[in-house]
Amino acid sequence: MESQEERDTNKKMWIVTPGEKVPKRPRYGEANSGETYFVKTPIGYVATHLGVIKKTGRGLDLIPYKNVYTPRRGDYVVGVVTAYAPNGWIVDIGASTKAFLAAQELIRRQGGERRFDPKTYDLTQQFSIGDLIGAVIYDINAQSHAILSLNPEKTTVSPRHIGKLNGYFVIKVHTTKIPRIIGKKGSMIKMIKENIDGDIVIGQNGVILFKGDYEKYLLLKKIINTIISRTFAPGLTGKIASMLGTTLENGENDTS
Amino acid sequence: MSKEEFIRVDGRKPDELRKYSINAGILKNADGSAEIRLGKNWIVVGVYGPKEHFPKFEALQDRAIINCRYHMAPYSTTERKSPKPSRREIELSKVIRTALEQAVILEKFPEMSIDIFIEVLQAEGSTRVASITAASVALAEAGIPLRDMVVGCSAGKVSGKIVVDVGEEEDKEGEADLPIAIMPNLKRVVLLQMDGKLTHEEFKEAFEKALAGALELYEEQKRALKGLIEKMSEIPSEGDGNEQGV
Amino acid sequence: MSKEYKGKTLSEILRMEQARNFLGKGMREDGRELTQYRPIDIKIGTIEKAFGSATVYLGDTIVVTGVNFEIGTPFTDSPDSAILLVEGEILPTASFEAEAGPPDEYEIEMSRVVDRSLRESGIIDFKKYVIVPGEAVLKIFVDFNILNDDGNIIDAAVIGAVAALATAEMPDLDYIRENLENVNNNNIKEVPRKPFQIEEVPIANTIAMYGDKMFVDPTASEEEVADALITYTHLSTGEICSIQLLKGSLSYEDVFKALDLAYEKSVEIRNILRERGIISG
Repeated sequence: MESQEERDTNKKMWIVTPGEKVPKRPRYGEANSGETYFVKTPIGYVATHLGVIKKTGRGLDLIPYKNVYTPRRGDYVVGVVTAYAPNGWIVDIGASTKAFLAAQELIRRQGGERRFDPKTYDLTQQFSIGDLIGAVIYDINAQSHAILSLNPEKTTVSPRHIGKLNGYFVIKVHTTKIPRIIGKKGSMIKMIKENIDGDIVIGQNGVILFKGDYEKYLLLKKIINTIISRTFAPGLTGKIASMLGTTLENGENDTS
Repeated sequence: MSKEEFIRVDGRKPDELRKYSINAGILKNADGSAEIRLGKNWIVVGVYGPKEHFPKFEALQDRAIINCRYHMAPYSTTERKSPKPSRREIELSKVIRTALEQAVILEKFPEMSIDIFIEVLQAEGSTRVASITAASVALAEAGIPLRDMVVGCSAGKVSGKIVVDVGEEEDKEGEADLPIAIMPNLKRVVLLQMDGKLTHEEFKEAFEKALAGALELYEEQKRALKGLIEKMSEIPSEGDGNEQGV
Repeated sequence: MSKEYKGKTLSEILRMEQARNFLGKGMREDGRELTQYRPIDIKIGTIEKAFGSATVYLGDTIVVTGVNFEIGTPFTDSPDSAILLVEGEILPTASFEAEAGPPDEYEIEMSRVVDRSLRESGIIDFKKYVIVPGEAVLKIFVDFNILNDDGNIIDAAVIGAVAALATAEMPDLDYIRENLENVNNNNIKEVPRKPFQIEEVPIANTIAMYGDKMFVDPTASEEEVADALITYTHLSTGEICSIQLLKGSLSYEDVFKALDLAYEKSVEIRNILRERGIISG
């Protein structure tokens, strides 16, 4: 049953389409992943995306139906090498801009001391076109290119998920779905990982990797598809829990 | 305005649009897609991107490039149309692209390009404005940031009367055709063409009729897009059964 | 580097920056008022081999137009109607950006706007030029070339087409009817001629917007920096026969403001054509 609180929350939510005016200056916050879904126009602030607006104590949030992934510092991403640059690799991370991985990063990761020398270093020997690479976004340069790192300083990412990735099943989802798959404070992904044996890797750019049994892979795919197709549904965590054959701990049911 | 009821070739009233419907997200592979049916018009739009622009030297350092192709299928018209792009299709691709460019926040995607493919599968007049209406829904469905939606409608002068949403027969017989496209919230005209003969007063009347038609279609665009989210707000009935949709 | 500067020469970039600075202050780089056209010079009969021709100089923009007539088969859906073919091309000489080869979308758009301005205006009475109903009609070619592109080529091209048609001589259709066996498109230029008659005079006027400033007859660099460009074609009756939003967007009010300005300017240009004896009335 819908609680009174849930109903109140619902009243504070509505669907917007691009160009619709929002009542006040929206918040640009972490709930929006640092991304803004509003633009100032002569008629005031308008939504730039189809999505659900939530009124929070601090302002307005827009949860987009879809967006184009914009790289952020610290994001773990999974991409494919698409070209060689003079001193590294161009990696397609399916984002709004290109990503670059410097050869020096790989030398450092392999414990090398020497400086990158284009005359002696064979880029093709390390990563070749088509290779799947896990990396952390170290910086965004002035031209908005993502600069990738293989030696992140502060990260929760396991070292085995950095660098070339082999033997994984790949599931590509829209990046807007990643927060839902991770869940509030990581609750959803925690529950999934606890109940599906195998190695699950989540790239913020919408690439999900899985190493494990084929049956488990199919279950994971089914779970993800349910989350994707019911993004805005209440009680989704409960639904997923039942699909995983587990039960929710108290107070874990989400309403968003 | 005093005017006796004037009935059009297809039985419509002067202010009446043909039957219409818009659906979003109809193509699995595309990043965004939509279809529109307006009378017998059936137009499908697929949006791909943003993706890296090729050739690289043509990419723009400060914004994305929109590639837009308006194309009519050989079987879309009464007389078979050559699948090769005609001068008309090249012109329409250009005016549709520039109309949509006004709404897309291109600066967000430097060096990228966004492809918009418009396929007219069946044509029955006013295809350019119907194409724009569907393309803007496909862009929104792709999650590409937009300042506003873009929606189009036509008006024309047929047998001396100003009518909205000119059909194929009316266009052939008519004295003037005025396709427009607007950004409905920002209240700006992004496509405006006219051919035929209109006095300034008739032009004003036709413009207002086309505007009203566009605003009606804008409601349908919103319905199509919002429907996508409403669909995602429901938990399938199988399962625990104690959950409810919004 | 912004879009507009891509592939431009330094001198063009400097001119564009200059245009921006001036228009921002409500001024023109060449000292004109916002609503003032550049000097218009029209030379008639510049191509002697054509049935009719005109060269229009609008400031530094140069358009050469030739009119030709042929005997053609009518379209099946309009057997009693002459055929008009209008085609324009920007020659590689016209600017740094112009290229040889198939026309690009801007060229095709420009050419089609000129075509519609003529076709829809009633400048030609298509019924008048039928040789044998259902079998042979007059095919009217209006070909124009931009020799130098300093902007506003649509306005200049329509003036050129009107001037070339208004002063053209056509083969005598009665003579052709009497000598159907002997006259063909190879010897049509030897047929005795009569003046070609136009029924209406369309005038195209392109209005540009820069910020909230509205101005007429943009130069090439002004077109580049303009936020919006729209062309209206007017008839002598004050009716509109063609509109094309070429660039950018307009507020609803500006659509009508620009329309009024275009009409005012069309009257001005119509008077110039009258004063020079190109059109009567």
